[in-house]
Parts: sequence; C-alpha cells; structure tokens
Amino acid sequence: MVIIHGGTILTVTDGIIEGGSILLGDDGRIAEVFASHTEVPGATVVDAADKYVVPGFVDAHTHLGICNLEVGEIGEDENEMTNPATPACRAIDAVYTWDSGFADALAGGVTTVFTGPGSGNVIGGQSITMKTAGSDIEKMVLQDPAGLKTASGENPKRVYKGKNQLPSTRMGTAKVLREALLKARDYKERRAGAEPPATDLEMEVLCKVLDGEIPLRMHSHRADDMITMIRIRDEFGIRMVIEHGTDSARIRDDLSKAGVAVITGPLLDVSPKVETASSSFATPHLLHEAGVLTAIMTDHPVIPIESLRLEAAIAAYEGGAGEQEALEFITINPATILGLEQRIGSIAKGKDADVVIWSGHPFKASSIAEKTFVNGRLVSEVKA
Amino acid sequence: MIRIVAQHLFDGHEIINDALVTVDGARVVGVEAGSATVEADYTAAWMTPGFIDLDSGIGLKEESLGFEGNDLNEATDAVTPEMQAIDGISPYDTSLHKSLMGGVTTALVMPGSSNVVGGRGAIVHMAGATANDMSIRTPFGVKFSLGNDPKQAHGQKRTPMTRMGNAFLIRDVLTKARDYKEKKKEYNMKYEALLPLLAGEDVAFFQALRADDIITAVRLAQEFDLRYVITGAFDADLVIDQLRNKKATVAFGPIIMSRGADEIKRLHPENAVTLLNSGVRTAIIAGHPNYPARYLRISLGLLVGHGISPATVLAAVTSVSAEILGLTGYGEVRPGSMADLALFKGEPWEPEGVVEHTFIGGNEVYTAS
Repeated sequence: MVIIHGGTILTVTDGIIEGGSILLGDDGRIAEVFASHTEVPGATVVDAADKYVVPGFVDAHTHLGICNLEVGEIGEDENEMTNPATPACRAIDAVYTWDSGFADALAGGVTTVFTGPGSGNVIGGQSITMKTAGSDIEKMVLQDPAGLKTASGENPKRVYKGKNQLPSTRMGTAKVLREALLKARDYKERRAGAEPPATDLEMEVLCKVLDGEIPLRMHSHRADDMITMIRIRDEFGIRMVIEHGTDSARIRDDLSKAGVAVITGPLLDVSPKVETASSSFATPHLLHEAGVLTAIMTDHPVIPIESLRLEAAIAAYEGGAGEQEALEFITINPATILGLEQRIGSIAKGKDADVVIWSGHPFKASSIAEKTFVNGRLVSEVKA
Repeated sequence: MIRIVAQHLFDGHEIINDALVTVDGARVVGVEAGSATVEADYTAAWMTPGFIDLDSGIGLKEESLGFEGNDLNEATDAVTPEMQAIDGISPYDTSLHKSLMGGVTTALVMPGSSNVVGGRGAIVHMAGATANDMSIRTPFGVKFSLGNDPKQAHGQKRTPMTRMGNAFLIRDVLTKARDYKEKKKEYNMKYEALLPLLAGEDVAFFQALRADDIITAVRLAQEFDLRYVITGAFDADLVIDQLRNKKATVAFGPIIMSRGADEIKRLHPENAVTLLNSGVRTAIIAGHPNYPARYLRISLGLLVGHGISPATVLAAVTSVSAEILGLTGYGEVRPGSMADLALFKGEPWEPEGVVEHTFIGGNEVYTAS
C-alpha cells in the first residue's frame, strides 16, 4: 500500500482537496480518499506537500506505439492502404510497447490511451485502449477492440485518388462505409440462419458495430463530413464518436441533438489542411457549452503525447474553458467516451490507482510530473 | 505618446519591477522603474519586447493550404542561393495574425530545408498589407540544409544522395562563387547571391539537427570563413565543447515537436537547457510551421521547468535573436528601441499568461477580445 499525503488533490469529479491523503491499495485501486491528512500504518509514505496530485490523463485518440518514433517509415504501421476497407486489421498486432512514446506519455502524466489505425482508409481497423506503463501488451490492454477506426474527408480520398481507385470523392467514401455495413447486416442475418456462412473476420467486427458493442471512431474535420457520417450512423442505428471535429463548433447544436461525443484536436499545431482551417482552442469549450461530451486529443505523434496537458491548459486560459472544465477534457470526459468512467479519469475510491504527482499545477508549462503511479505502482519518477 | 505600466518588464536583458514605458511614435522613449502608481494608457502583469522567431517558414508555407500555399522549397535543383524568401511571402497567411496573439512580432523567414542551399531569407514583421510593408531587411541570411531533407528531396534524381553529397554541393558552390568573385566573367545569379556571405556581410544559417551534421556545418563555415548560425541543433548537447570552443551560435528548436524521425529522436527540452547553460550563444526558435509561433512562449515554460531562469529564456527569443540578426533597436525595451512590445496577463512562458496587447512600431496590432 502507498499513502500519498497532499498537497492539492484535483480529484476532477469531487472537487479540490487541500492537504488530504490518498491510499493506493495493493490491488491496484484507490483504497480510500481522505479529506484530511491521514496516517495509515504499514503504507509506504509519499510526501506530496506543496505538490499537485492529479489523476492520470486519458488521451482518447493516439497512434502511440503504432507510429514508432525515431525510426521513420519502417516503424509506421498505421495505415494498411492496400484496400480502403480493412476492418479486420487490429491495432494490438502493431503496438510496439518499447517505443519511447510510452515513456513520454508517463512523463506527461498520461496513463491511458486509445491507440489505433490512421485515417488513410475509410475503414482503418480495430483500435485498443491501454495503459501506458509496462511492456506486456496483454497486461496493458483495457479494451480490444475499443472501437472501429473510420475516416471521412480529405485523407481517404487523397490516398485512393492517388491510386486511381475508389474512393476519390466524399460520395465514394460514404459508399465504401455504407456498403460494408450493408454487407455485414446481410452476413449477420445469414449467420443467424440455418446455413451460416463461413466465418469472415471483416464481417465479424462489423457485426460488433451493428450490435452496438463498439462504436465507429469517425475521423471527421469538416462540418458536412460530420453530418454525412451521422446520417450513416442513423441509417444503421449504430454508435459513433467524432474524432478531430475541427469544424464542429459550427454545428454544435446539431451534434448535441445527435448525442454524439467529439474528441477535438490536435490543437497545438499549425493547421495543415484546408479541412482543418477552423482549428481553434475555443472549440472544446463551445462544444461543452452546447451540451456535447468533449475531450481533447494529441493525435500522437502529430503532437507529442506529453503535450496533452498543454493543449488542455491553452483551452482553459485562451479557449474559455477554465481549469476544471479543461481538466475534464483530458480525464473524466475521455474516460466516459471510452465507457471506462468507472475505472479511470478521476481520483475516487475504487478507481484504478493511476495518480500523478506534479511539482505545480499541471497546466503550468514549467510543472514536472515527478511521480507517476499506474495501477498503484510507481512507474515513472523524475528528480526535481 | 503611449504610457504603459508593467508589474514586470523584461527589457531584453533583465526584469524590472513596476516599470513605466513611454512610447512616442515608433520608438520607446522612456523606461522608468518603480512607477506602479502613475496613470497609464495600458497596464500589464508582464511586458516584453516582441518575440523573434529566428528560423521561420511563415508566409512561405501558408496555414491550412496544400500545394497552393506551399512555396518553401524550389526543389527543382538542390542549390538555389538565388531564391529570395521575400518573393514567396504571403501577407494573408493566417498564422501571421496568430503569431501576434502569441507576442511574436518578427521572424527571419527562410526557404525550407529540401535544398542544400535554399536561398536568402527576409527579416519581416508579422503585420503589413504586403510583403514590402512587412519587410525589415531583405535579403538577409543564406539558408543551408544538411542531413536527411536534401537527400530525400533529391537523391532519387540527382546529387545529393548522401551526407557527403550535401557537403560537396555546398563546398562546390562556395568555391565557385569565390572564384567568380576574383575573376568575374559572365553574370551568374547563383554566385552573385553568395558574394555578400563570402565578404562577411551576410550570415549563413545551417539547418543541422544531428550532431555529425552540426560538426559538418562548423567545418564548412570555417573553410570559407563564414559568419554562421546552426539552426535546429537538437543534438547540440553532444558537441557542446566543440561549439563553445568554436564560439558558435545556435538557434535551437522547436522545443516541442514530434520525434518521428531519426534526426529528431534525441529532441528533449534538457538539450536546450544544456546549451543555454554552456555559454554558447543560443536563441530559441519556434521553427514555424513545425511548431506554431503563437505558442513559442509556452515552449519556453518547459525550459523554466528544467531550471533555466525566466530572464535567460526570454532573452533567447528577444535580445539574443536580435543580436544574431544584427538588428539594432530590436529585441529590447530601452529608450530608442523599436516599440515592438507584448503585454501579458501573467508569466509569458505559462499558458495562463495570455497576450493582451501586441504593438509593432508603436501601433497596436493585436488586442485580446
């Protein structure tokens, strides 16, 4: 057992506790959160006086470990661009857990990530949710599959137009997705019948989408792309999360009405494409105000994963969100989008003991993540 | 006359508390300490000289555009010293106004890194109706590029395919330009563009990220007795003694960038810390658009977190940069200096310290809503 004596504890879901204590149990969960300084016999004491104690951050859209840092092309296993629909591709088969991005994540206080295929294909493949500490992928994974990566807008049509193949237009992209889902619906019906078809790995995962087991994680920047994809969502009665949503503020009331969550970002970059022109740190707050469940991503390696907190900080002070709301964008909100709000995303009794001790408020650029605990174990330490 | 009171004024060199700064026309005319109570037109928690991004592609590679707005690299030839950045700068790049929102008022805009000799740069303000209005000095600086970028851009078609090829092309064109200078024959635009550099009137900017490329840049500069700056310089900490002994100048950065390539793999804020502590003359850059100039200020916070003093990091984006550019009166807030100013709500290197007002030449060019 470990007892952390705060400090300022930003629980996220239960206010700010000054001078309280947190007991991390041997089972990897938070055993207790004390509102005042409390000694627990037998527990290893970690003194966090004058420090900030913060839940591990959650980055709900990354390519961590799939786009290996440092090695260039040979480490890129992001897009199987040999076919615009590759639903059977699985992120778990491509995550290199020794990639230095994982250490960066811990140094940036990020303890859980959603990592998956890129946006080169209309249907990219199956993403996973995983902790960032460890090396054994089987032990790090929380959800597999966590969602099916899909993409609209510029990227898939640029890739396949270059090969003179379908899709080379937005209409083509919608066709690829719709056709896959229609085929899967047919497969599902036949699977339930007297003469079930041979197992088709692609159809099997699409059936999980049709059954609502996993959402489509839909890469969309432009407002019209989001509207198109929500149309397809409703044709099939499936679940969908909007990724990037660069132009989402423009249609925030529609998104709110549609009950779709948006993971905004990457924000700490120079907008690279026509469809990202309206990129703004004000977007997450505008969405939140409209009632849209909102998170912020790095899209690592687009923005280095350790900068997630800086994106949230700018959203807080320049984007109008304020500190509490912006903190939620990188903790409980992405946890909720992932369906993991009972396990991660805040400091509360019974949740995973993913706790980070910061030298100052994590929204100060000069603050350092001095100690990072994942599942109650100290996994990263920086001497101040 | 504009009177500005700042709780903390960084004047380019040191921090002065409760400062009253008086601006008349385009210039700062007075700086007084201990003036917190006087009436003022503006008050700010922090005030600094406008920041300078020392190796930028702003205006040359326009935000949110693809091919249409990308004029960084004339990569039809690997050696193009006759290109001038000023001819490609768009005053409509939306990043220009965003830079003002981050307190950046000035940049040295350079051609990109695809060519071993990219062309000549332009020192520009981040505001102006045309590139001419933006310009402070042009042409200024010759962009050289070592490492993988020129190999990748050209190697399939022409030299260079290797680092040896990179160095050869630079040595070759400088040798020929030197020869041309001595016995001028037929007019040659490439060699003409290099004459001010060979005469010590211009400065070479070598983009070199890996330690071996940094050392190659120093070797080439010495062979031709060039004034030079190493830009990028992610591996500078590995060759710190050599850089100090050679009295080299480094423009390090960006501090925040994806490490998704071999040459960038060692990028870490601590490398900049080592450099700033070493005595090597060091500026910090955003390297826009690799990292947005608007948030140069926040990348400085990472260095403060690693123990560098606020005055040192702020100097590295103001007075040190101006000195490297030879821009007298820029990068500082002293009587007589240009009134390029940034006013902040809090500590400039922290996200919370947002910019409230930005001035160029005494004109307010950005006001926070």
